[in-house]
Amino acid sequence: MSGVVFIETVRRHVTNVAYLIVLLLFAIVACIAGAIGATPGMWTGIVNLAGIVLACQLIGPEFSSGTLQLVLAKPVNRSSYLVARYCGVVVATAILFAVPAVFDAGSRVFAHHEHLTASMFALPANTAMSFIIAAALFALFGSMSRSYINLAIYFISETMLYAAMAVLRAIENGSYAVSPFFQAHPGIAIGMTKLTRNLFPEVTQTFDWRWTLMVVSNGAVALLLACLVFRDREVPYGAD
Amino acid sequence: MVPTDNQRTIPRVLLAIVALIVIARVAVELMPKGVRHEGNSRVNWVPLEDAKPRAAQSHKMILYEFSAAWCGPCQMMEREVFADARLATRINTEFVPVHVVDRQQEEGSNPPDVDGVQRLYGVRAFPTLVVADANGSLIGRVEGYGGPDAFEHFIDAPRTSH
Repeated sequence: MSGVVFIETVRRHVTNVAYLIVLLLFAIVACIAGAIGATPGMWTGIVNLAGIVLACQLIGPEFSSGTLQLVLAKPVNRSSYLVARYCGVVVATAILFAVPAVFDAGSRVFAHHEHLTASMFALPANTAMSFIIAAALFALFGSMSRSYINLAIYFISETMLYAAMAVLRAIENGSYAVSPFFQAHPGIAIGMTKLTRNLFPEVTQTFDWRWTLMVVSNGAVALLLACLVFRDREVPYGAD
Repeated sequence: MVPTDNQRTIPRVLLAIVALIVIARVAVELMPKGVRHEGNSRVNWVPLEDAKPRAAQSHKMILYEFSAAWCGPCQMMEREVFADARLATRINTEFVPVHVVDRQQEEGSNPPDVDGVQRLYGVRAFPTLVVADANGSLIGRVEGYGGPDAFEHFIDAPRTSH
């Protein structure tokens, strides 16, 4: 991994005025949520959106803006570059969750005299960890597309898989002509569910090391695939 | 811009790290999952398959708690009821407590015994509390979590009417 690219990626995010304003807003929202005694981490939904905005810019927009062409004109190993960019974006996203989580827990302790517990941090930590795989998928889809097309591929895949899962369950539990087939082969619906949960995991409200390992391993495989695609990618000047 | 060989190489360290993580994941998937109960629970949960024999032997009713890892109110009940010393002592002395965790969302399916007991008591939401006798006959059932007082009221009701 290229240390310079990693540090530069993190620096560019944390010194960006928009990033800092958004971080401040999230911290205020989390502080208010903690002070009124809302469910710990209920604010993670809005931070999730900001995380997606950061993660989808990992590689596609770099290509369209011409930054990638300039960087790859130097003898930089492409995989090292991609992994460093990925790690930098994951760290920048994790900060977006970590800072509000501290404010949320702090306001609970001061306003309600609650004891500091791990469960206060579970939802923000798990949501941040879900970006290990989300960012890797954005890197993979971005390695084979331009601009923000990775975002479209990501959301279309997620929607299609969740829809297919729901349709299969409905067929299995219904009385359609094909229902007996799916009832006799429950592995099809189970396999579809497992595929969906592995690619787009639902965030749990407790720490679960199996879930964490699943997210890390799937993220690692997606990132390796992204490196394999990216190493042979044509990066012509003036592409967009 | 065509990458040079030096630019194309996948670093061995990256390959090794990914391989290690994947091996760890496969090993964990092959491990038996067992009965889950997390948090600071002071309740002595009994495995699902032992519940009926224990209830018959001790002449106690069975208290099933149906929950899921993603269920927020279940975590709240864990903190406010099952981690509470007084309530936990009541549960341990008056019931055979069974903690049934739904893994449908995480793993796509539940073990057959979990599916069977959920179907038997019509569990559609989490948490659901069920009190049953040693034969499995339903005595009391409540969906959702309404706080420690509501919980205590629920476990009092079957005793007074049974």
